[in-house]
Amino acid sequence: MGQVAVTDLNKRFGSVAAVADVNFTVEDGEFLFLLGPSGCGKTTTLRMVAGLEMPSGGRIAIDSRDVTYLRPRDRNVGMVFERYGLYNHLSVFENIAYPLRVRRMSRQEIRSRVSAVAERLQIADVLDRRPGQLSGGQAQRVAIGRMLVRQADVFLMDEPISHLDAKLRAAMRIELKHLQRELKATTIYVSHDQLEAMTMADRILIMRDGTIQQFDTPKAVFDRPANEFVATFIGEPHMNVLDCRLTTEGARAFLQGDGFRIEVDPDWLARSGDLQRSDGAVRLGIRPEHIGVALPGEAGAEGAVEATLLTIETMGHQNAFAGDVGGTIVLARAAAYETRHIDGGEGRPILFRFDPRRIYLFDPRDGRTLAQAAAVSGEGRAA
Amino acid sequence: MSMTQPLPVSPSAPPRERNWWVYVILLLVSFVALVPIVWIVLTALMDRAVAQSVPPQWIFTPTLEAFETLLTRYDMLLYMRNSAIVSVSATFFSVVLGMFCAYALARYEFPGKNDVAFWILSNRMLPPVAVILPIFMFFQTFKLLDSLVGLILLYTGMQLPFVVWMLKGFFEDIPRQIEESALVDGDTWFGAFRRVTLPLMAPSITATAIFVLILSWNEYAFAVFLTGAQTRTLPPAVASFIGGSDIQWNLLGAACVFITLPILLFVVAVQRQFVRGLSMGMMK
Repeated sequence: MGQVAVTDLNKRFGSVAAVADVNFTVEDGEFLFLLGPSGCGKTTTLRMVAGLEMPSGGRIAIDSRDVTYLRPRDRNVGMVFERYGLYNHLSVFENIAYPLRVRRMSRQEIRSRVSAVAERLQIADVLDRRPGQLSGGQAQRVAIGRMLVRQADVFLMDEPISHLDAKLRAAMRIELKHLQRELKATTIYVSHDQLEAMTMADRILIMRDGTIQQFDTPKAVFDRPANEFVATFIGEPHMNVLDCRLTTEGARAFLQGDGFRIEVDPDWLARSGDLQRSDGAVRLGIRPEHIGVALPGEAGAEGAVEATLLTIETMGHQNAFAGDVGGTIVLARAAAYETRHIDGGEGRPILFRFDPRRIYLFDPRDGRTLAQAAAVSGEGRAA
Repeated sequence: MSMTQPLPVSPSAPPRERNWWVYVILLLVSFVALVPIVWIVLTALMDRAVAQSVPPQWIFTPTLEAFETLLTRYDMLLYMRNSAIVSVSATFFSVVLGMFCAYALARYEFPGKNDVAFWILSNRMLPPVAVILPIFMFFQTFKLLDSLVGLILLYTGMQLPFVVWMLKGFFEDIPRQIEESALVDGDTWFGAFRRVTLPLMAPSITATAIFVLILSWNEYAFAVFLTGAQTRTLPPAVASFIGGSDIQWNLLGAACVFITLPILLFVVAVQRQFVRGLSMGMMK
């Protein structure tokens, strides 16, 4: 197993920079996610590590071996593709045996290795079948088997489970993570699904337009997003963002927006050095689960934001409320038992209670995070 | 026709479809297509007198006399051998060469790629008659006249554009990831091509080869001008029975059977693969 170091990696397609100055290191045995919307350069980055795409500049090293311009076969990496990765004219056995056949291994060696892998992935009973006769989950196991059957230094996965149905995907997530932990295999996994990244990754590298937005642990990117893009990309349903201004009245500080005013802790603002440079215009970010819901006139409704209720989505244990706050749709999520009394009545006024300790502030110009939520900024790295 | 048992159709369904005219058309087309073939086979089985008789006779005692004459007095077997050598070799070379050209055009980006592809296609746009004279002189200069090698070279070149364009489309239908899989699995470029791409392409390549074989087997224009007595292929040989005022219809019929039968049997034998290869990529 190996460590992967990527330095100043660049890839241009004509005049388009698909990957721009990407730097990261994957430690031995680490499970790294490249996460981002489609077209952000994550797959191109992975393909450059695999050797299927040659970089326009930069350096890729596996275990301090410079592999930047090596052919795929000289890198000893294994890869699982989203689709079409299987050889349809060969049996499952031959599919898994392919990397070994290429390496001219002995017949017995191949047989024992393939059956060991098939055993582990529970596909021993379909070894004689053709890929066309397999279910989606089985086919993907075969692809994974082909990666496991040889001692690859690095495992690369390009959206390996995103085309499976939701239930199977959930099962495969657990399986893949377990497998990765068990084998202690250095793994780079490309995904556009933040849930996959949050549940499986040791660290997540979030990309957008070919550049790295943030590179940190799942908890850190969730709690302390580097910018508005990361904040809204991670989390489901995604974070609400509203335009507002910072105002002060004596010792008190407020966030004044269209149709709302929220009092915030001036000490928190003072701790966030970045705010001094802004001209007062900020974007307020808050996750749906940190907005309380109440009816007008209810106790504890003071300081709440008035909204017009648009829809209630019933999800069983939770209810999601979409409300119109000064022209922006704000989503709040609350436990079902707390909001049982709010039932129906779309178009009626409702109150949203923003938890002031869970508010993020972003720079409206470049999206940078100006102030991390007070409730999390105390832990770990300073905001 | 009156139905005693009502069908379980909705009362508001449109009236039952009547398709009898489809069968009429099918019968007509089959008749028009089959009669000449039947007549050729019948003529081939006539003796000389019956074949010349006017009006034509439908009822007669079949004889293999015409075939016997062809084999003993004319070198039909030599011509057939020539045809076989030329078409099989030309098919082999044009498919092997064309396969790599098509692969390159389908897989790689390079400047002028579309121009190259179009130029290849444009080679098929000129009718053979237009280039017969230059090619004749070319063959004369290079001492290729009256040789099977010359004909093989010419047919290979002639069929290349067709092979390239057919296979280009089929290669494009094979997902790139499957080759990339093989590359990451440790294979070389050629290894991936041979072990993964080619097996998947086999039906398409077979279909293309069959096409090319038929085209080469039937090629007439160049064969007339560029071959001599020893190197004549079947199409000009058959046509030579038409020359002059005295056409021996039974010999011509037998010669037609000679030229058609091998290819017909061949196509019947490989027809399943042929259809599978042509429809590949269409079913996804």
